[in-house]
Amino acid sequence: MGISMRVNSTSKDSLCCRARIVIAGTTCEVNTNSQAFADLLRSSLDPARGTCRSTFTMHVVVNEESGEQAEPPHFRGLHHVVVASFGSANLFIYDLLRRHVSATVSAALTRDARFWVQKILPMTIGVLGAAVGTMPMHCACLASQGDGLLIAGNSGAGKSTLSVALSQTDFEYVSDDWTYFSYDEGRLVAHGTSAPVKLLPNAVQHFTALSDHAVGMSMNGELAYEVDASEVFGARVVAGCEPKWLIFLERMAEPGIELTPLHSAETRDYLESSVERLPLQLAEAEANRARIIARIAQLPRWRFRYGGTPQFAAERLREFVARQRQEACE
Amino acid sequence: MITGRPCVPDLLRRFVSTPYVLTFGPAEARVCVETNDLEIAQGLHHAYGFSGNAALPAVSYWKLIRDENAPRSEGDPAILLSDPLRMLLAGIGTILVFDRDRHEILGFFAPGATVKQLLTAWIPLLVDTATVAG
Repeated sequence: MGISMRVNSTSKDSLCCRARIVIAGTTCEVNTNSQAFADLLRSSLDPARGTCRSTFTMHVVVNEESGEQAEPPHFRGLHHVVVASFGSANLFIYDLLRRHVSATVSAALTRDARFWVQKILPMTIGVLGAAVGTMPMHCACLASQGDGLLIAGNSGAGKSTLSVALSQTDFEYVSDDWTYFSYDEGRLVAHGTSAPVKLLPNAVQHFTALSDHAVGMSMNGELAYEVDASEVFGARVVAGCEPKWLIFLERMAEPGIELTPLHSAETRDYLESSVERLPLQLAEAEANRARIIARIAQLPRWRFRYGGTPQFAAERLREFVARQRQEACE
Repeated sequence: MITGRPCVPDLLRRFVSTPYVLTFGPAEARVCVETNDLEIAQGLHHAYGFSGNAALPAVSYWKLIRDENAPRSEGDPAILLSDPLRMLLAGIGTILVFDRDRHEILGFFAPGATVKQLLTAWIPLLVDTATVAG
């Protein structure tokens, strides 16, 4: 035929190295031909122990002769299939019906633990999402004594800056941008991933620790700081919590705060309009997701508007949560 | 009241409209093609619509998108076999996936990719049952 081509097979028989890891509360069974890569996953992520709520499989063929680094990502999807490439040497195919991911990657990519932990694996759980019983939602999540505070809001509302400011009080950090929800034994649970906190360049005026770091190009093409919340801000990071409160964040020009209760129906409408449309082939996943949205919309919820610094807003929220907890006990 | 509604873009291009829909073949082997490119629809009909093609495994559904937003890039095709899926990537923007269990071929065509390349090179590579990892 006169065409040269590369063929890679992700047949399980040829992938004898294994790792079992947890991402956003979901177990991933990894098979690969590289012992070093399996070891890297095991050492970088929480190992799965016992049975877990949901599982998916991932087969990764490592091309030991390839030194190609990740190039800018390219994503496409049709029906139950999503494809991602990071240059022609690094290909991923997601089969949402069969809960399976196949990949062929360069050896250079498998040595980059940060890339896997902070980019590929969070992205993977985001793509599989409802197909593995996990709903990604565009909101931040902080935890106080195991109780979760969800912070939703349109892009640019300041979810990440407020999350960092809260994590510098007595809140623990779960996530700043995407949070993953599931039902575990009838209980709604919010999970974070190891994705870095993403802050726009002007955040440096509120967090001087950022001045030691450089802005870079994020996955969506925005210039941003992408840093580890624990390393840079000293945040106490936890993997998940049980959501108890939901706020919709808005900014206002004048200093101060406003807290206004919201109706459940309005909240549900907003949440339903904030998630990606799913194809007809994923009807079961869509139904799972609708159940989780309905449950989140039943949480106590408010619109939270503030003007001033994120530290000022964080302090007011901390007081508000303390009052809510006290009222619940009375 | 919550101000504004989030706008969720179709980043994966899952919902690009496919105005060209054609079905052909006998009732027991009906084939449906959905595409946004008339030339692709005509090419598939011409290649497989009249007499069928014995070399082509059963494919009952095709969805092929001319992806004007994809990068223009050339390169030898790469094939990833992940039974029952087979994926062919040519450059970055041309992606074809064959689901053997569901008898479907789904894909995106980069700008500049030709129907001739699709019919004479990529589809045969994608469905070639003799193709195994070397």
